[in-house]
Amino acid sequence: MTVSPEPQGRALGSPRGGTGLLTVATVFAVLWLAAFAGALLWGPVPLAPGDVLAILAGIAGDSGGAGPAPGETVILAIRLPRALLGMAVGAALAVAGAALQGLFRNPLADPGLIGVSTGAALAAATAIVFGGTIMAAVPFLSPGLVIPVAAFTGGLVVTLVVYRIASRDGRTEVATLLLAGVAVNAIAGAGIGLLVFVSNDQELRDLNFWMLGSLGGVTWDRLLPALPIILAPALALPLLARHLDALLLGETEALHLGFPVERCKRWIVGLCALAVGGAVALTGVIGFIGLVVPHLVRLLVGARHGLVMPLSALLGSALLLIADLVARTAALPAELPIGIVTSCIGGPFFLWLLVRGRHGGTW
Amino acid sequence: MLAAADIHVRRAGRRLLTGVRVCVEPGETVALIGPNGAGKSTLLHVLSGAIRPDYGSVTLNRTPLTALDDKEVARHRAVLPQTPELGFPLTVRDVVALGRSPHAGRSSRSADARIIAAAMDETGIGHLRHRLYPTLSGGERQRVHLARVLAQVADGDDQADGRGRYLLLDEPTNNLDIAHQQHAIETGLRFSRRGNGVVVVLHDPNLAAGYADRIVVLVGGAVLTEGPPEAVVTEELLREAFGVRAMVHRNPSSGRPFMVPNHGSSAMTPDSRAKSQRSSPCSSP
Repeated sequence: MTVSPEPQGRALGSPRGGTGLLTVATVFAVLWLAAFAGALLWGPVPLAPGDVLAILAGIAGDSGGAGPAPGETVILAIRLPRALLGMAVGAALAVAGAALQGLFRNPLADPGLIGVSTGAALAAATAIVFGGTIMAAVPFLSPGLVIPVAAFTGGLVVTLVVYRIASRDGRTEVATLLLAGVAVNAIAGAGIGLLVFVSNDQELRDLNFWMLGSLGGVTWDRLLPALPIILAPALALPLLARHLDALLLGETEALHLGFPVERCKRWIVGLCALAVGGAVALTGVIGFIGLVVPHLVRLLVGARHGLVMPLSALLGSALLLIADLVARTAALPAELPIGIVTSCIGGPFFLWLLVRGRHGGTW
Repeated sequence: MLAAADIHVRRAGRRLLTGVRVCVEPGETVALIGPNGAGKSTLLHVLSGAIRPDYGSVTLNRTPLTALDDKEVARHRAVLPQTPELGFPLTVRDVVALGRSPHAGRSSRSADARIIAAAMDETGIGHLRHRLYPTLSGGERQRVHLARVLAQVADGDDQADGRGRYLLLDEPTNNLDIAHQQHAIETGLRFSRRGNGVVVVLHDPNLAAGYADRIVVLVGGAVLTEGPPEAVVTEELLREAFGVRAMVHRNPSSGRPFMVPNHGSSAMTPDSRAKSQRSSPCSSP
């Protein structure tokens, strides 16, 4: 006699689960606000919530006068840009993950599968190891921007290569896209390995840190140009929610329903490459957010992309901010790479999902 | 009328369809039968517009499909896939509601809701509406997709031009027990009686003979013969198209032909069949 704990496999997203959906959204929103507050309040310099609010009100109202409040530099120059970056990157990775899992009809797809992350990593590693030469070649680029620009470009170029390999006669084979992504990732991985091999000690440290990801050291002049690149695609992807729902049935079925399938695929891959490329350019490779967050959301509200993508954005933001809190406070005064934190939490969680999935649950 | 004229399709050097001509009128059910690999599914995909023929054209009410907007086509014809698969946790109602997507922005929410509910009732899956698709059995899944395609071509408040809609069903009886097979076919038949056209790919000549207005027999990528069931389902045709020996009888109540495979006259004689039954491992002591 088997006892199923699943109540008939219902989804909260169904009309009868309306209250459940509201609860999930509320919990995510509260978590998100708490994570944002924590990101501003928590750190080596203790700040009272009132002071932080006063500082934030200061920029909003642009009061001027009064003189710098205590901790104003800490908030405005360090914690606020870092928190904004974390929010944007968390949202972008999670939404891109949800979109690509839908496109590939595979719950195990990760934003990195289209080659954008390793492409960016390869370019960034090249910039780290041969930075001097590159800077001599493009003198108009300020030194702080060389690595992000290289990473962003590298990510897009590699995604384009993967996409072209999988396309023939104006059609893109999604299965080939996935396999080409795996192969190109392996090649780029070898390139990175080679760069690690020829790098000196300092370069190696930089490389290592970049490969494991970090929100640290972000400045307004790096953040501001990147924010729209990261956020605009993350906000645009949910507009394709119906298309993604239809693609879950299969490409032919989506075509029969009148959806412009090929155009859709180009948009999804393009928007994901922009969002993830922009994110990776500033933070390095951060694993598991894009894989685990959409999973968790689907488990709670079902698979409709109109719900999955916005809620993934919210949860991805919150979880990345929380992971960053852990990363910067767990080993004070040093800082852990955030990729270690997300993988440490995400890995076991994912295993739990897999084991649970085998007991008759669904993705 | 949905019509395909002089269709030629080649893929990877193989001729899949050569000079095929087939059409379906409003109010008519056309069955496509033929042996495996005869090109039935390919022809259905050509009719749907998913496969562009190398030569020939498909027209919907005399306009080539290629000249019509994809959404416009989708509002007039729907396709039931052969192997519907979906591993993500959409609810049954979500899947059926996807059928209304070509009407987005044209049909009102209340009309859509009514159509979705009616389609689920018609295929008998109303009680499954909140179930997650991956938890369903094969037969239930098939019925969910049948409801989805019915919802797709149902008249909402956005189109009442009185023109027929078309359903293309690719082996709708797969995975179904006899009762549900009958139910699925009859659902298609009811749809056609409301002034719509149905093209249905069937494996079982008896289902085709029992329900279709017209049968098209496809062999080797070409139409071998077509016509009403009485004219098509004959002992010669079954031998020629399928390579089977069968006896054809008449259903005493409907007058339609049905076939009985003639096991006795081929390799298996009644005597050897009895022997093989006796020696089957299950019955041995």
